[in-house]
Amino acid sequence: MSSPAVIPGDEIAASLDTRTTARDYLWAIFGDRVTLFAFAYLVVLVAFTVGAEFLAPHEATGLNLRDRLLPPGATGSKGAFYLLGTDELGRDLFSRLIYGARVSVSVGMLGAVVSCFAGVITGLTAGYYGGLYEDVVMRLVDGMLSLPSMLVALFILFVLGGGYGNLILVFSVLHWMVFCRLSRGLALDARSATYVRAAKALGASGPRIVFRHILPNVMAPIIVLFTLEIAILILSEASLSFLGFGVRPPDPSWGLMIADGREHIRSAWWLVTFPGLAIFLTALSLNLVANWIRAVTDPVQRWRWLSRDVRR
Amino acid sequence: MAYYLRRAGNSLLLLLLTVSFVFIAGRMIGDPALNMLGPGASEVALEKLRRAAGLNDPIWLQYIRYVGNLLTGDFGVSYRFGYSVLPSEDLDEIGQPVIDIVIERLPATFLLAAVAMGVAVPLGVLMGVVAAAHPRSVADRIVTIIALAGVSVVQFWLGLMLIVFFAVQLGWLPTGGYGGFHHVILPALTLAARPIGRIAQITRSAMLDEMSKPYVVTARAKGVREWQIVFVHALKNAAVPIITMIGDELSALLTGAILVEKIFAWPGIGLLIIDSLTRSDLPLIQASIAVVATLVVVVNLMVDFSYRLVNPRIKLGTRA
Amino acid sequence: MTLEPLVSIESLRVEFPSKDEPVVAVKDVGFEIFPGEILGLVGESGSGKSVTSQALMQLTKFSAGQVTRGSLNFVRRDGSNTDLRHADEQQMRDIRGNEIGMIFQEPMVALNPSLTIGWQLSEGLRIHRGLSGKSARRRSLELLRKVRIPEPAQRLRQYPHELSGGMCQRVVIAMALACEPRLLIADEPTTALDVTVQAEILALIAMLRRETGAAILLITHDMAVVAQMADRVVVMYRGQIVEHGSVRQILHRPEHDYTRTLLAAVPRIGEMSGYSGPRRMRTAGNSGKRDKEAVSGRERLLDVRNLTKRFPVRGGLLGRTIANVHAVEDVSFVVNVNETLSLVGESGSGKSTAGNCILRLEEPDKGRIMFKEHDLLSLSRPVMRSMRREMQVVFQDPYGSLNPQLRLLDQVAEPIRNHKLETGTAVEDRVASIFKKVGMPRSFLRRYPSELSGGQRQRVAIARSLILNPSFIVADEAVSSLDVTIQAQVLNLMMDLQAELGLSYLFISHDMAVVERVSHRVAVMYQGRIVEIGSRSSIFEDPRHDYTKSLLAAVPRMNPDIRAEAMAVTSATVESPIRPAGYKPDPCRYDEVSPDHLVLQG
Repeated sequence: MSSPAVIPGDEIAASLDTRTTARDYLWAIFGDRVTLFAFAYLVVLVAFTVGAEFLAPHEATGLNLRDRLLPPGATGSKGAFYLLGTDELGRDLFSRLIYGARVSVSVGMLGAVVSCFAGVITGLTAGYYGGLYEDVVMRLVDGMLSLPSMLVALFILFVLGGGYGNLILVFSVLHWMVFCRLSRGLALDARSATYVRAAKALGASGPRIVFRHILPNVMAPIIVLFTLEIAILILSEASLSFLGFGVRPPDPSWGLMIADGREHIRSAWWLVTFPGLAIFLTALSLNLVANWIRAVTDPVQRWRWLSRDVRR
Repeated sequence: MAYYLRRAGNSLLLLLLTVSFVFIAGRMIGDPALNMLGPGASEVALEKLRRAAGLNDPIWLQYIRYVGNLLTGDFGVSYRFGYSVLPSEDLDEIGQPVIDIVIERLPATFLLAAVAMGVAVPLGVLMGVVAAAHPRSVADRIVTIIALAGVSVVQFWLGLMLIVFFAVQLGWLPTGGYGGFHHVILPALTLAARPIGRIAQITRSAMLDEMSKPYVVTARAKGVREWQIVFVHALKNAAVPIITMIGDELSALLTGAILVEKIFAWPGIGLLIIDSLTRSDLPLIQASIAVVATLVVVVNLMVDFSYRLVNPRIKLGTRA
Repeated sequence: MTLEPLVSIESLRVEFPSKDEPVVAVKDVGFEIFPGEILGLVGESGSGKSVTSQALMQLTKFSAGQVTRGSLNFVRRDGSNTDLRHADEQQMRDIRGNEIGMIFQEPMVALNPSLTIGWQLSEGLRIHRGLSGKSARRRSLELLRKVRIPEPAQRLRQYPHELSGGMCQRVVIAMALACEPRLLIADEPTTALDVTVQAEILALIAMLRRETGAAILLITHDMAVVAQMADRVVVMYRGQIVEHGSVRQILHRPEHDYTRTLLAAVPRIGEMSGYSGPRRMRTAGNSGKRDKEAVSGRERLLDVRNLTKRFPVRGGLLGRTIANVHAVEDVSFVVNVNETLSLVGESGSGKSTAGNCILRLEEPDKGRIMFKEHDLLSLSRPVMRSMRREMQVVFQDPYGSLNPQLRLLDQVAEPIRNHKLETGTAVEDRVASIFKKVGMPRSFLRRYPSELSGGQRQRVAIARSLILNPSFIVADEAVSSLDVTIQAQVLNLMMDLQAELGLSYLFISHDMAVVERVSHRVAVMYQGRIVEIGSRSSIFEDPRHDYTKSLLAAVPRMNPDIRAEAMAVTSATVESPIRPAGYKPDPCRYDEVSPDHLVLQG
């Protein structure tokens, strides 16, 4: 090693803040085993969601009453292999989990996407423009945030009825405020930031400042929140479906599968354990990924994660 | 003082909006009389009920009567609880006043929430502080993993797993129901998992924030011990986000108890809500929602007021 | 000196881990501190001066820094000699705050916001002296009196946010002195303070040195502070010591090139008497003569009349306005073509708000702003947006004023695109030519701001403001956060551009010496009002208003032979410009003491 460059101590933070390439990020993922597992799990999950028809070993609705309640790893009557066992109708649990992922994950994703769009747009504009508009929006946000959301969700679904579309609607209505509050705070900070004042002095229009200058600079915390919200929505979907107010059978969702399995909890433990484990691992992976994004985009601690020789 | 009044005013407005929303939504489901008497009711009986309950009046009059009744604590009577025969002339005999039913259930929910938060708050704060005091240590990693597990687990599933293990397999604890102390252990643990995780997470990040501030360097330069810096200097400044999170979790717990109470057959307000929803008992639903919303509003107000106690900088009521 | 040194540092090396290889912040540094002396440790940002002092307290380890070589010998109170590099944590705790006290740069954040002054002040006494209750309180009171804080008993119950910056710094000093340390480390103790407060704090430190006999390690970037305070000086550059010696030797006969450059770049107040226009700064190999001189025209460019801006303070049940901060109050001035008018004042004087109002980054409450023949305040938003082509701004913070997510090319080209002036490759050519003008290589066009140093960023910010050929630029503390050598270069660039392009500047600054160097005319602001305005020579050579005089007197001189130790050490109470709602201030009336030299009445 050649003698290290003498870089002044007070400028350490600045000198480290050189641009990070995609390769740096890839390297950082591979360097952190836990995060790598989380990413891998999510990639596999998404693959199953998209290609359930090709990847599931059995049909989700294919009943076979002779193979009822077989334990994991059992071989059924026609020589069929059941990796995670079968349910009370003889359906393959593993295949049902894969089809269930499609429902649970997509409800979470779509709910998060809609609320993210609505929240970020209202939040950024409220924070930047201020005034009466901001007052009205933030009153609404504060009010809705202080409602007991689980209860309101249950009530709305009680009125409208459950189902896939209504779930997404309820999630969007009850979660956009989270994004709105965050983006409004970020925009408020950015509004007084010098680069925004400079852009204004240079004659940039309002929308241009909000979406070209502020948005790219506040993406990181929004992405983190987005990831966390997917996890939260997947958990909520499971709870609502378990109570019978969410996804309707025969659509398989992880929450419904737990509800069904509950009757056999003493004899067939796998029916409750595996769907719950699937939800747990999904939420855990999303949380880990969110943590990782937060760490690598945080100016104070990113160097620890991106550095190659001082890795933990 | 003005600030407290304004806050209380906002909260009341919010409550009014909530009950109004519930009222309007309730009317959207269909004919309340039919709902009340069931599909087999005769047209005569329905009409009798409509007249008696004022359901033929204009909707705005009904609304005003509804809100007026709420203000006097009258949420109406239950469709389903406490009556067995068809209604007589005297409507009071249809069922029990719903507010009584709801209030009867509150102690059980309070007990559950108190035990769960009594476990979660000290444990979560301690875990977060320990993790932040030694960032990137083994303790930090363990805390991070436990906290992540806590926020990632599905509560009702955790409850079921605990039942299978401790109640069914080991037989140490009852599978559910309400009674002595051993009944409360499993549901409270189930409920505590998420708050432990979230409080530990927020404590950790708030403490890390504080520990990087210049006043910590000042304290070190004074020769203050590290644990004193952590617990005396930093924790006090990190208190606002932690208290906010505790408040949020307490509110979530009051409603999150729905699933846990159902799984453990715990006779609290959550179980009542789910029962009233499955039986379409509209007055009972309205009363439960109003009571829970009030509780949540009270928790939020308490959180707000406690900021002032821990943070001398927050000057309530002035805004530059 | 025949005394035993109190501290002797030998071949110190401090490293910080980083993304690639460890960064060496301090390399082979060695010096001694003798009892009772003030040693000035001078250097620009990144010289490693603060890291050196933190290594002495073993505080670097909390920010991941490691002392990898050298020794830090310290003679303890009991006479034993300890190498602080190898001292264990318990020994260090016994030394920190007890035998070595420390004062920090930003007093407002150096104090714990949620603990009372009294509690924080007595904490060291409880730890090191075992004092408790009454005796700790008595001693705290004594300490507050020692640092000349008015109403000390009341202060003990207050929280830091209830005190001004200068007052907080006095508390921090009292805290550092609590256990009568033998060494006081003062890390940029006055950098965050206003110049009048700085003078008070420096006088206080000098007086405390005489009273307590403690040695002081004074870390600063400001040569004038060193000249006023230090006995001996150590000059650091990029982690190494380049020169050390007595203060007179360093200031009068510097030997190292870097020291010479550093000293040359510092503007000295009063050195401009006899000149009328601005003068280039001295940089290495340049005596400060200029080829072209900006001669201010008589033609009016900007005419500001009765500008007023108040910020409401809301409160009460309905959130009504209960008071107003009178940020800018009845301010009038003129900027002529090709002229620099400086707005000078301390923090809170309203100078930046005035600048923002003129650019309509904030909407003024009252007043009239004529720019050329346009009445700016009557323009609609779109028309005002196109007016921005004519009037530009350069902000203080070179790190914040560029969008970190955009390439330099896009940042500088943004005004062209905003006003849809050119497209395609013409844009890049135009940006490249302006880059050349501000001395930036064309290869930098595709870089991002994070790859630039502070001085380079400020050049880019200037390029961005020039791209539309404006006639007027507001420079809001444009060089205040730059190191002094860089500051000189950027100031020269601005003056050259003025001469070349015929620009007019509104130069907003708190630094009297810089203002003297660059201005044609000067306006002094205090509490939202202009208290004195006139030509540069009339303000600096014939100040009439009391505030102008005190401001000029407070500026530390670069001469160690003339020390202003007789300065008042007690703090003046600053009147707050917050007034109850409905308060009607008197209009500003001025006496004309000589042509164009106006002084506020009363």
